[in-house]
Amino acid sequence: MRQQNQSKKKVSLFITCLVDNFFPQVGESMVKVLRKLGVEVDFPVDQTCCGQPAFNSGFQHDAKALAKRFLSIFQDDNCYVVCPSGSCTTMVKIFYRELLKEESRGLELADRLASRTYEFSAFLTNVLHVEDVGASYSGKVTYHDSCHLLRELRIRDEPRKLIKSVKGIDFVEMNLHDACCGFGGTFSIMFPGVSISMLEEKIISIVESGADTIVSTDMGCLMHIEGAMSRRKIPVKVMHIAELLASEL
Amino acid sequence: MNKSSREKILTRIRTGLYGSTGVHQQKEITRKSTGISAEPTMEKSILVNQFVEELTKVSGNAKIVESEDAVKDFIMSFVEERGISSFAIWKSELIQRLEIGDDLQSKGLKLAHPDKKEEMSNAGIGITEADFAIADTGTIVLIAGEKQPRTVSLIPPIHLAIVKSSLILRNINDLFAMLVNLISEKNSTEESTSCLTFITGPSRTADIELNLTLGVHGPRELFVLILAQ
Amino acid sequence: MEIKKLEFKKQSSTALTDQNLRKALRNTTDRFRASRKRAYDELEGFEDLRNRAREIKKETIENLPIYLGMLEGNVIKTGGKVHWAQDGEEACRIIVEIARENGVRSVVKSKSMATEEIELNHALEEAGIKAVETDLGEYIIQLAKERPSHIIAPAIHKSKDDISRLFSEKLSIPYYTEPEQLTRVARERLRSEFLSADMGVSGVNFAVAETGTIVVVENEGNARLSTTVPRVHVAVMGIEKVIPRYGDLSIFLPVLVRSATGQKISTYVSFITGPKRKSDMDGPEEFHLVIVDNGRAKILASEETRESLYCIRCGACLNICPVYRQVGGHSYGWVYSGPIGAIITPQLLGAEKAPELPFASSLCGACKDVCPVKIDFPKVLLELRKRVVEGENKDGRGGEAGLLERLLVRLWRISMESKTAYSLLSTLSYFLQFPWLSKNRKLSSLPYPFSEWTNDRDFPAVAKIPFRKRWKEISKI
Repeated sequence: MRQQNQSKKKVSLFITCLVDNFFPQVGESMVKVLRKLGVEVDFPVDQTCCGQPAFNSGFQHDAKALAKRFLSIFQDDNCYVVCPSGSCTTMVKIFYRELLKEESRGLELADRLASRTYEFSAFLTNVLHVEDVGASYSGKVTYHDSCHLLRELRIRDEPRKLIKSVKGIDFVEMNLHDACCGFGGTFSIMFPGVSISMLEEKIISIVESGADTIVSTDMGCLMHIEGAMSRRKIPVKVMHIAELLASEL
Repeated sequence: MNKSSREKILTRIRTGLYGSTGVHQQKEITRKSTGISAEPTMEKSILVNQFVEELTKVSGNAKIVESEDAVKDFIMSFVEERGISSFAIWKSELIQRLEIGDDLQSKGLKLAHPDKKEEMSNAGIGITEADFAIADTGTIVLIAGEKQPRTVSLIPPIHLAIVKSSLILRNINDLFAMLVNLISEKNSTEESTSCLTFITGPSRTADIELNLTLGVHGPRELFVLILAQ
Repeated sequence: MEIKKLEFKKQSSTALTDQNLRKALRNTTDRFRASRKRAYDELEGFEDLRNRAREIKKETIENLPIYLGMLEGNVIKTGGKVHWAQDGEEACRIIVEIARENGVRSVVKSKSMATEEIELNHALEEAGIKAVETDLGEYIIQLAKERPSHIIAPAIHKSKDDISRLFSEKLSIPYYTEPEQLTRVARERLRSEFLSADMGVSGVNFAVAETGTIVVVENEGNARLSTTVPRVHVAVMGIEKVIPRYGDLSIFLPVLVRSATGQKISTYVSFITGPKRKSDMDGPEEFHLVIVDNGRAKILASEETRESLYCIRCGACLNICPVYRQVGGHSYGWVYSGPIGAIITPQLLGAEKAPELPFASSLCGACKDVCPVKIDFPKVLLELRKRVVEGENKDGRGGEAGLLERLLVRLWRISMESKTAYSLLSTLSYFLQFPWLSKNRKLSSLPYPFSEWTNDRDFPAVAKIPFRKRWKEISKI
């Protein structure tokens, strides 16, 4: 990263296709929080999908094509790349190098991109060194660890610190906080029965925690969890961490 | 033995690992291994206490005895209390010197011979002397040999082992540091043992709904007499 | 033996409806997980041990021909015999032959995944030789004519009541309800089998190249009996079970046992080096080591998946796996289940036999986190998925993926490769969703394949104005 610490930090938003098409308010919340913290935000308009769905389904040729496209869009080494998803961040930060390991040019670009790509909550805590963004929210909140964020990117405490610093929050840890919710992309459609059984255990865990709001870093997990809760009329609110941190900002 | 299968498997492995040429520069294999360290010894009494504690945790019984006579006294009164009528025994130096076997026989107990399965299956107790013990797991280590048959610690429902406190080691690393030397001296000779066994508590299973049950195939009870030295 | 195509989806669907099974699975996996965690937390430097264990496995696998040769030489030196089997059938043939040469009528077996894999019991019975499983869990499974559903606890899918009923029917005994009673019955029945058997068959947890020693880890004592009492001992191992040095066991034993059951050390560990010595009063007169390939060597050819052979069969990945926890071992269709089954079965049997297994994971990575040799399960699964889709060839054709799936992925890729097409798809989706949109702005009953989602879950509606359009406004602020 050539960028000077003193100068204003620049961020290229990597808005996942889920957030773009289904949950645009998450992207807006990110912008709000980042701007509040004095970051210059840009959104490369040519971006589409990072290729993870194809990669996870075994279509690596197709994923590779999208990875190269992504690399050409996020080429500016002066910008951090920040993403509202642990899973898509993992794709770019870790799996691109796997995918492009036989192509020296691609691998070099992937390495450089990896070093400046961050999941949103990790960017706030580990790059901006902020825990309290100044948000307020009144409610009993629990947190779901997204699998990729936790086990590929090793980020456990960062989002919790941010959540606990929000004024008015009563934070409660649920029992199975680090168990997979059963989403797993196409897994949820290929094996719906297994996926739902996993999800049901997760929901029991959420309800038993007594929380009125569940927060996570990934809309994949959250739309999965919300999908079952809304069907079962369980009145727990689902929130992306960016939305929470933008509350009353 | 099927020689061609051997060659085919090894060729397949070589091709898999090193490509079709099958050529591989093998670096010299070091005998030096792992994280074994001969670390400073500890106060024996600490090790004895730890051994007792760990063995007790796994449902074994440990008793510290202060003299060789006390070992013998314990065994004599134990077989009487339990009404044991037949026994199997090792002929280690200590056991022979204490004449435990002879005394049990003169008390009227029948000696079971390890080469006779029927006699062994009727034996009420097996008596051995551990070659080593490990404090931090509560393990005894038995080395099979001419005078130390394997089935004595295995077939009777009660296993009683004597261990000298000086032979209690700190942990598995210390034990392996010792065994590695012992084995390299005796490797592949008639002297080497055909079987070395770690025993940690009585036989157990948890195969029925994870309920812990003792004495499934091996001894239901394990007594270790620690001879303080 | 011909193995049919495995059907994870079908079998797991059945398993999901079995409430008793699911209760048992939750209970077992919870308890194993808690024990492992306790054992992990209390041992200082466990992480270093895992790293070291992985390093040694890597070293061994990369120099496998040398270590196998060394092992063979040392087994022979101590008076044992070594046999090599290319596949399960050959392994069975060798063992039946050893039995025939020795006039063996009955065999006692201690738990071994390798002999499950080669279906040894079946082969022995066909040859007119009685084979009795002696591990309590395996004994239960054998009576029920089933397959183990867990590497460490083969009968966890059976409740106490199931076992009471099974014993009472098959062994003609009263309906005992206490585990102690049931265990005592098994002890008595099996004791006479041990005493009358002419041959004992065991597995191998580790085989030490430098000494020719095989190591067997157990709690019950049945492996000690099987390897001590009968006149002939046959040990069966996969080629990957060898480790270089005796001292390496000080790493592997604690790592294996703590990962498997959470014990510090198992009740019994036997280090067997050859047959009994001449002067010994007991122990087997013959020792045979059968080294089985059965598809393993082929795995070595791929650097991406080679580490699948590092596995030491502790079962920790099963206990942590949220998928295994829901569906149990039998859903995986073959002897190996859970994450290790998902990666090893398609490689041993061929991707075409188990095309669903690499996908039977949400890629949550919990298995990788607990693996004592740190196998990178997600990485291997992704590589295997690629092979299913693309076939074994590099040209990306001829895999197992269906035409419709390929077409969909192709269309998707085309739309993702251009901003215009992407926007178009997004706008199109927005309008197309209306017929299915419910009052609360959810999609609750979409057509197939999306119905697989909406049968039990709502799907969010496509936003009217996506982020990229909102950005035009936001960027001006």
